[in-house]
Amino acid sequence: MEEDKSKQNQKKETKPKEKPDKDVGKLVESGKTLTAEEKQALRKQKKEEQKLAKLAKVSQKQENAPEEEQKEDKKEKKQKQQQKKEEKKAPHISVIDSQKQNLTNIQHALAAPKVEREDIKEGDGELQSQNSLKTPSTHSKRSRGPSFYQQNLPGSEAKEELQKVGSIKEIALFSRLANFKELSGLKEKYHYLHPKILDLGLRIINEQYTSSNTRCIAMIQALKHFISDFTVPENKSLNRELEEELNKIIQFWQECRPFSTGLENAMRLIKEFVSQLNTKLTPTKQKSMINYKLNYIIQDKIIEADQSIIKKAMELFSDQEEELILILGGVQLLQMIFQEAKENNKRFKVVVADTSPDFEGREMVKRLSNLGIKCIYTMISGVNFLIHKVTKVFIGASSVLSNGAVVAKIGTSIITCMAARHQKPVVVFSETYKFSDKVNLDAINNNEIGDPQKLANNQKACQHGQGTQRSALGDWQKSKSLVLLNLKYDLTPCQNINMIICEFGRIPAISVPVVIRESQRENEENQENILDELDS
Amino acid sequence: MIETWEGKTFQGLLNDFEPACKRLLQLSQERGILDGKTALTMKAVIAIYQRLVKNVYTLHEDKEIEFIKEIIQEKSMILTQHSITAKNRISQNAKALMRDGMTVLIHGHSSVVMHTLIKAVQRGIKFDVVVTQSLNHLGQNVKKILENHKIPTKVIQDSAIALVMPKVDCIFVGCEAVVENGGIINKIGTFTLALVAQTFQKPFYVFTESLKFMKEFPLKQDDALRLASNGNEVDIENILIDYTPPEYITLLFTSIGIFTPSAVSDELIEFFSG
Repeated sequence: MEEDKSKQNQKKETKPKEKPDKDVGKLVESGKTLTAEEKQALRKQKKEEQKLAKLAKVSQKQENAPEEEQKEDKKEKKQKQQQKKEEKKAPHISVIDSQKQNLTNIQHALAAPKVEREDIKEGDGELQSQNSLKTPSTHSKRSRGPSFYQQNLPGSEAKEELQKVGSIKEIALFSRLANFKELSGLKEKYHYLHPKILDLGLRIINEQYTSSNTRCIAMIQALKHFISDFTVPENKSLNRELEEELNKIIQFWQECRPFSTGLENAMRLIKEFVSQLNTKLTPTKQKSMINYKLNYIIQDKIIEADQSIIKKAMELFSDQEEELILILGGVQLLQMIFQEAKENNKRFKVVVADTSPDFEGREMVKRLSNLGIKCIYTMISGVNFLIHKVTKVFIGASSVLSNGAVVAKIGTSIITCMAARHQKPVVVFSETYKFSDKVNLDAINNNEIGDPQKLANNQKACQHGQGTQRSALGDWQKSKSLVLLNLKYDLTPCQNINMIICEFGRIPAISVPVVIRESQRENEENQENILDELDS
Repeated sequence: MIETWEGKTFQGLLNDFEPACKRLLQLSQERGILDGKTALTMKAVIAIYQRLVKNVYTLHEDKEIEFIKEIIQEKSMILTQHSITAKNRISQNAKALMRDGMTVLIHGHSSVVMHTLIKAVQRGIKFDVVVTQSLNHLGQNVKKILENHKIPTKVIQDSAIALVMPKVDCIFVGCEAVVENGGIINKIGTFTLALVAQTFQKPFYVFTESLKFMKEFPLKQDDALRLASNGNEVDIENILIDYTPPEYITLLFTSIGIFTPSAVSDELIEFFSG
């Protein structure tokens, strides 16, 4: 049953790609396929500039475009659909395996999912392109300020302004958050950065790194490339210069997509380390020290931590009865846990609850059922019917705050509420580098706004290949009384959490501050150790 | 009790240590010094002792064996001393708790609770005690001991706790083990008592030596039962203990201070990771 379902999903996912659109012609004309954002940038350029300018742009992009993209030629794609379905399975597994393997392999493995992600994105790109014909700049940058003020303006004026500025409508409460915006200008703005850094930034925009662990590893790998290529101007100290550069890079990445707490912590660790370097050493020596530190973060804070969390998670599986475990969406760490549990012959089933509009759970169900794990796939609205049978609820956290509250994928709060209501134990898994000493009382701060267009997209139309009317909500951008809000995270209070598992062991949610204190102490010790070790 | 069997473990260095501990557990079970209780307390103490020895070992890794032995012995002496004086310190900590004219409900035969009550009487505080009948008419024994010390005591049936709860000022219990989230494992009926106490908004106090802190984390009652029965199948007709979650506990009076349930995990993390 479940496997059938997942197969269906598989088909559904692949369908949008097949859809040949009018736009394809234009794209083929330009000789190659680009990522969705690049394409949109391209389209805008078309409107603003002459064809000459466009050609110049294409040639510029050709240089920067990663090799993988060129493989993905549209014509080939149609022929190779079948092949791709098979390919699709492979990269995911390689990502997980790579965590266990050497660090050097990771960069390689991370490149792999890019290939398959791309074609999905292309589907999207086409969709968006059609839309942008109707409403010129759907989502582009816009000056801040609650949009409802504009509603007081006479209708025609408001409309004009909306079209002129091109707006994502804002909700007053969330106006503090960075808005979802079109990021076409970024590449030009930050053209002076290292190509690896820029490349990663674009991938981040394309949402290729859904797991913040892979995002963090990818960022550190890119930083390693950058640092090894970094040359110090004469008569200047390396760490000063490097610090400035790092700040710029981090700013760029943050503009691509806001950092999660884990990333913030990791970047802070790196910056602190760089600023504490001994300036008397030769630049090469200093570089090797930074390299050492970066490797340490990947190895110790992420990979080793995951391993020990997985080990501790095994104790949660009961030997006597079959466990029914509820999870939300796709979480890489949980997948690794289930894989390990399967290898240890634990008896369990997984209920994957999913949320729109991202449907990360589909990918998860597919991978789990490929591993031979029994799965049940449901929407979050169906959880109510299953919760009484569930024995445990597993949550992958995005960050853990010092009052014991957990920030996780949106929908988690609902699920934990339901679990608490039915007295089901809720277990949160998180590496300690995601622990934050901040305290949030609501999910409004530090949240992230996704693409509101996704909410408006008509799923049915997409699946059946009738791409003509894709927005189920019509021209929602022009409607004054309709605002779409696509948030990415929510906050679960500590009363609803029974246990947090991190590399320090199993802790109750209330004692997060102790772990933060301990891990800070450990970091300081480690910092000194590295400095001592390399000094001698 | 603790004195006798801790003396035996000195022989073991790190490698011999684990079998020695297991042997000890077995021995204690066979000889029946557990007195109707489970081996949980023993387990907890052994874990702490092991950790202590390990700490010493890592600190003085490069020193000679004789030297390490000496330090371990010294540490063990401190630990034994601690367990002896623990009761006194706990009753010292609980001094402020006892007031004239109050009624205390106790459950089971906990030596720490008895000690605290007797100390309070000796200080001239007058109070009543209500004790549950509990298994094997344990309540009658408790009544005898307390009346010897001139504490007016009434024995009630276990099923009458809800009935007497409105008249009670606070609840004192001992425990066999304190788990990582601040919950306790104790004689069966404790959880029921805690539930009723919360309904009537009465403070629920736990008296325990810090040696009973345990690095375990039960999520459900079943986990706790399995813990006590060494992973064997649990016979539901013959259960001796239950698990009380931390949200029902007001305070824990221990030999190292007065804790809220959440402070227990802080203490444990610090001890086992530091």
